Amino acid sequence: MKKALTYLALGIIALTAGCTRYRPVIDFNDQNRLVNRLNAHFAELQKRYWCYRFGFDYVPNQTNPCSGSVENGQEMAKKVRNEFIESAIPFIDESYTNFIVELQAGRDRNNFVADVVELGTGGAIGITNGQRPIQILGVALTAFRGGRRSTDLNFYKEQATPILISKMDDNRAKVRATILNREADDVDDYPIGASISDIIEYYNAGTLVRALTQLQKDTAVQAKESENRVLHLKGIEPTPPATEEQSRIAVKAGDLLSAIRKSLAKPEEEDGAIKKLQSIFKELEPDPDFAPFLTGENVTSEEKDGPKLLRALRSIRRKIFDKGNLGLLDKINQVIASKGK
Amino acid sequence: MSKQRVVAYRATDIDTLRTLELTCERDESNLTSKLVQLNLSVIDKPEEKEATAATYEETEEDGLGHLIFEVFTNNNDALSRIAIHKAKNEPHVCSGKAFINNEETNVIVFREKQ
Repeated sequence: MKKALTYLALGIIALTAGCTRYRPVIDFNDQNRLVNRLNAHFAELQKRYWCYRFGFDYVPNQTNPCSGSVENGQEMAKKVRNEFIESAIPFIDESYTNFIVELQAGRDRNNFVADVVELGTGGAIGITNGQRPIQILGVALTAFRGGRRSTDLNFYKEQATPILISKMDDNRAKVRATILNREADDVDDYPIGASISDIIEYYNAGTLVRALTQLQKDTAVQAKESENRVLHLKGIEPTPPATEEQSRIAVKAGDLLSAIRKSLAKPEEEDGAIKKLQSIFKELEPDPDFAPFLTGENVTSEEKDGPKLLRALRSIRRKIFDKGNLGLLDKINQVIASKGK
Repeated sequence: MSKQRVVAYRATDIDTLRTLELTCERDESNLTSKLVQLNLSVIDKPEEKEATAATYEETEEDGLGHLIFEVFTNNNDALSRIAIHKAKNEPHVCSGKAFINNEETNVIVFREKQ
């Protein structure tokens, strides 16, 4: 008897645990997959897209529908792609609406029935005579409550239905915003494959699994935010705000130094880049304000090592910033802007 | 790890989001560093005052270009802004709090596509 019970317990464990899947399965031939169903349903639109995409005209009901040529194929392909997206989305919206209605109504109904069972059993315990029946009802009620709790914990992660629906709405709105934004892109930047991927993403955004994972992520973001506390900075002097002109010149100087760095890496442009850096240093050398910084870096305008000159210039700008001398920074940025062109 | 610097901007000095944007762009360029964090802070020099602390991390890249500063309301708003800018190839730089015209403000920063 004991042996039989052990086998039964092991059998139940094996059946309920099942085999864990560690990776998704890819099956290109499975016609039930959403990608394949989308492709099949919109096959005609896709043919039109590919014809226009490669500059052909589209002739329906032909073995090879791509023939002749069109002038604005890219623009027409873009229109077809957007038509494809906007035709697919209502199907997903409709199925999502049905899903949330069923989810809300189904869970409400189940909870109501479960509440009635719990209250009824609780009442029955109060009016039943005899120790044994009361004991049996008590055990059954505990098991029933445990089952309800397990359902809430494992299927819904103890989240209320309105929270889950609101999270799914949020997720879908974000993906929809991305899709609307990308519809402005041309077909090179946003091909039809990427739009199918976004449609699948839009569908997935309205699933319970995605809602629950996103809720977990949000909790993590909130935890990080609470760490984002007020800092107490000791010994740091405030830096004045920038004017439009100051910021423009600083960004321009940065852009020119970036161009010089790229030129230093090209043998045909290296000499020109070194000359620009030397002329920047030549302009700075007579100015007594820069003297201590130039001496500190041990470089002169005679230096022929381009990367060394560039590193020195970066270091000088950082040191001047640390000294809080923004006027001198404006000066060096103006020199870079005029000599680094 | 690259060297980091914390730069403080007095709460009363930054009158608009645009001023903070221009100031951070200027300092990214002058320090050849990338903005990595924005926090509310209190400085003790020359006197105890509220300030925005911007943390910059040194880089070897010059010409980091322009930044985009936006105000966000909550996490969902921030996440949708990240998604929209991602589609435009404008990477998320950081999100944090800053003083704008002496008011605590949620700020999210993106880097302009170059």
